[in-house]
Amino acid sequence: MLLLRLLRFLRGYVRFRAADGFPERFLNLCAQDDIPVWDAQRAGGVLSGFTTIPGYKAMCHCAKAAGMRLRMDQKIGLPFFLHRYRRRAGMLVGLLLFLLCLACLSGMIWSIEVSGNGRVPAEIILQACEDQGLRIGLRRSRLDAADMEKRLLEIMPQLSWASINLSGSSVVVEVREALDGVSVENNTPQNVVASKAGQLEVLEVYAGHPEAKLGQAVLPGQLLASGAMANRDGSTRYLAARAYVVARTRLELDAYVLRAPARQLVTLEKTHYTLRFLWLQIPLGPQPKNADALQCYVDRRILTAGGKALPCWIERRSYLALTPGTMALSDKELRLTAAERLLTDGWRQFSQAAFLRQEITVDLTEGGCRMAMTGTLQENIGVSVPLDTTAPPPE
Amino acid sequence: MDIPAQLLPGASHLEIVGNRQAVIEGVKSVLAYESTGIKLHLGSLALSFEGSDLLIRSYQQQQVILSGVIAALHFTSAP
Repeated sequence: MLLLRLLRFLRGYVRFRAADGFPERFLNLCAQDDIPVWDAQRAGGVLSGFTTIPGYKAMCHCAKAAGMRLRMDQKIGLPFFLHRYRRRAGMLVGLLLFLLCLACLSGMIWSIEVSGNGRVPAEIILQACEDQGLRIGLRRSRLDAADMEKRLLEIMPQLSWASINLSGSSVVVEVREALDGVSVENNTPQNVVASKAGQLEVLEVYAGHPEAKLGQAVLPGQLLASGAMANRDGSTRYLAARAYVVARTRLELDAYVLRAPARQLVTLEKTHYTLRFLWLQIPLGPQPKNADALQCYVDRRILTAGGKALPCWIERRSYLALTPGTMALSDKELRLTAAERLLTDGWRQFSQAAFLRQEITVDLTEGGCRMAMTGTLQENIGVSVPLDTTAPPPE
Repeated sequence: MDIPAQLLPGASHLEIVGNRQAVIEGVKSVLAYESTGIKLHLGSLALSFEGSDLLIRSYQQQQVILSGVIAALHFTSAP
C-alpha cells in the first residue's frame, strides 16, 4: 500500500468532485474507459474521489455524458510540485548540488575519535594516525583498517592493541595501552634484592629461597630471595626467584624554587584563526608577518551538529614571541610552585606506595623557597637482579 | 467432472474480509451508489450491500473494492 501511494505521488494525482447528474453512470463510464478511480465517496449528492492526471483529462467527457459537473479539488504529487517551481531553476540546481555534495561527502571520513587510552594522550595517537594517512577528508574506500592497525602498533610501542572501526563517516580508533614493568616471565636465574633500606613487613616468596625475615631491617641491594637452590646431593640448581616484598621505608623529598627563576617571557602575542573544512583552509584574518620566528600553539574547536562532529573546525593559532628573562615570584607563588614541584616528584616516585606519615617543612628565604617532605612509607622494595651462576653458591 | 466455479465464463467472484471490506470481481456496472447502500450488476444477478460509510475504494477492470461497515448483502435477479 505504501509503495502504491509512493508511485501515485511520483506520478501525480488529483482529487475531483462531481455534482448533479448520475454518479453511477459516471463511475460505469469511467470503468469502461479504464480510467482509474479510487476512494470514490458519495455524500449529499456529490461524488468525490481520486484519479490520475491523464485520468482526469479523460474523465471530462464521462462527466458530460453522465450529466455531472466535474471540478478539480486538489492537485497532489511530484509533477505539480515541479511545475510550481519550473521557473526557479536555481532551486533545482541547488537541490542537485546539495545531493551531489551529500553523495561526495558521505564517502569521506568526517571525524576521528580515540577511545580506550589513559596515559597516552589522544593527540599523540591522532598524530600517529595522521602520519600513517588516516586523516579527516580521506575517502572511506581508501582506508585499509587492518593495515593501519598494524602500522599504528609498530610506531607506537605504548599501545598493545588497536582497532580502527569505521561507522558511517566516523572513525573510532580503539586502543589498549601496554602495561609498564610487565615483562614476559622467563627462566633466567635471578635473585630478588632490596631496592631501598627499610623494615620488612611483607615477604612472600613464590619461587626461590627466602633470605630475610619479617621485621628485619634491610639495606639497599641486600638479598631477599635467592634463585640458587641447594639440592640434597650438594649440587646447586638455579631458578628465577620471585617475591612480593613490602617494607616500611623512610620518605625524604625536597624541592627548591628560586625567587627569580630564569624563564621565557612573552613579549608579543598574536592570534590567528583559520576555518578548516576537510582539506580546505580558509584564513579568517591576516597571518602575523614573522610567523615562522614565533612560538606557535594550535588549538582546535570542532563544530558539532546533534552531538556528531562535523568535518569542519576552527583552528586557533597563538603566536608568541618569547625572550629569556627573569620574573620575581611573590611568597605565595613561591610556596605554590614549590608545593607543585614537590607533589609532582612525590607522585612520580611513590605512586604505588602508601603514605603512613608525612611532614612538610617550608623554608622561605630571600633567594627562594625550599619545601621538604619527610615521613614513612610502605612500599614494594623487591627488585629482580640477574644471578651470576658462575660464582660459587653461598655457604 | 468437477470444474472450479471460478473458471466458468462470466462467473463473478466475491471475497469479504470481516464486515469491513469486500472485493467483487466480474462487476458489469454500478447500479446504485450511496454511503448506506451499493448495488452492483454481476450479469444474471444483482448484489446489494447495505451498511454505513460505504466507499468504493477502487473500480477498475470489472473489479470493485468497497469498504465501510457492511451490515447485510442481498442477491437479487438482475434488472
